[in-house]
Amino acid sequence: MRVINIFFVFLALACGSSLAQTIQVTGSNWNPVISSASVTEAGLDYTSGASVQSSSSQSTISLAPGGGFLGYYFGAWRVDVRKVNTNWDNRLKIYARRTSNGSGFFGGIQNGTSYQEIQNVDQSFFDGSGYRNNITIQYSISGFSVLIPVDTYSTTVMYTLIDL
Amino acid sequence: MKLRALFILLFLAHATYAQTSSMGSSVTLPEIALIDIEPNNSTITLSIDAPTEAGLINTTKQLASAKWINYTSALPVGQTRSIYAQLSYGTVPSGTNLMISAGSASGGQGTYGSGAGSLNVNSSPKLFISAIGSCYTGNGSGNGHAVGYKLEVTNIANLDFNASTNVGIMFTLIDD
Repeated sequence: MRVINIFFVFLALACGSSLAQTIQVTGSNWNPVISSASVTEAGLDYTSGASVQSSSSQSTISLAPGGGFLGYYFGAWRVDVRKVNTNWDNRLKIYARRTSNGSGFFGGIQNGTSYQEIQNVDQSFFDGSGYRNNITIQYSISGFSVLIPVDTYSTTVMYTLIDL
Repeated sequence: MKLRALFILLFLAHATYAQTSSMGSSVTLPEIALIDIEPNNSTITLSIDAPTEAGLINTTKQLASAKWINYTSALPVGQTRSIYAQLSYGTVPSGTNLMISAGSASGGQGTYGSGAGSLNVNSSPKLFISAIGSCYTGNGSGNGHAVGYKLEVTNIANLDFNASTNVGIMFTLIDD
């Protein structure tokens, strides 16, 4: 009986705060400068669909769900993405996509491999289970126009890890 | 037993957590200033017709929409550009003036400039189109500002019937 109680104590501790939920985004900020040579002919705007892309691993996300030991290895999670604008023009569109699965011992990862526009409110980006390290993210910005005043437009891309 | 039940509850308890991390991004849009003459910069000819009636004289020769000015302008908020015109080479024949004018722009989008009216072009730069904001006029003939040319006799006594000369007109798009 005592052995069983000790087992439950360890189990409860393992499921408790010792393995807390974490998400960490690493990598440098991405600050592209559009070339004026992108407009090649007087009288024309930027080519429709013109875009710039970051490196395929501009950001790296490592995450671990909460829920202690079991959650760390098997807990289901979802990552939402949104942007918080500092100075942004709504004609500019920023997209993100997942370019690798990262690594983890158990569990897996799904969705998010196609570019999706990052909105001002949280939207589901990708999901999976168990801890996962070094998930690489690529960005793209489009919507350029000479009608948008010349300036530097800034936003912050926010990732939120949600235990399911 | 109660203690074990508590542990079981702790084990089964499922809380939803949310943690956030972020990455910054900015994009810089550049200034752009492009100007073009359409359909090309080939020579146009202004030749005052000989009169058909004794005692009369034709004093003007006009070509409307002979050329079109296209431009693309990307600017910070509150700034504008202008186009100036001047002779880049040659001299207008004695006894005549060479006038040019710009029509209203169409074909693209944005804050087009306004034509400064008919002006006598010479070797000094003169304001031709003003208050250009961020815009693009469209490309090719029929887009942008039509440019009209008029050769007018100002002093018959100074005319040389055989005077023929080539002049170049240069249009310059500059920041105000």
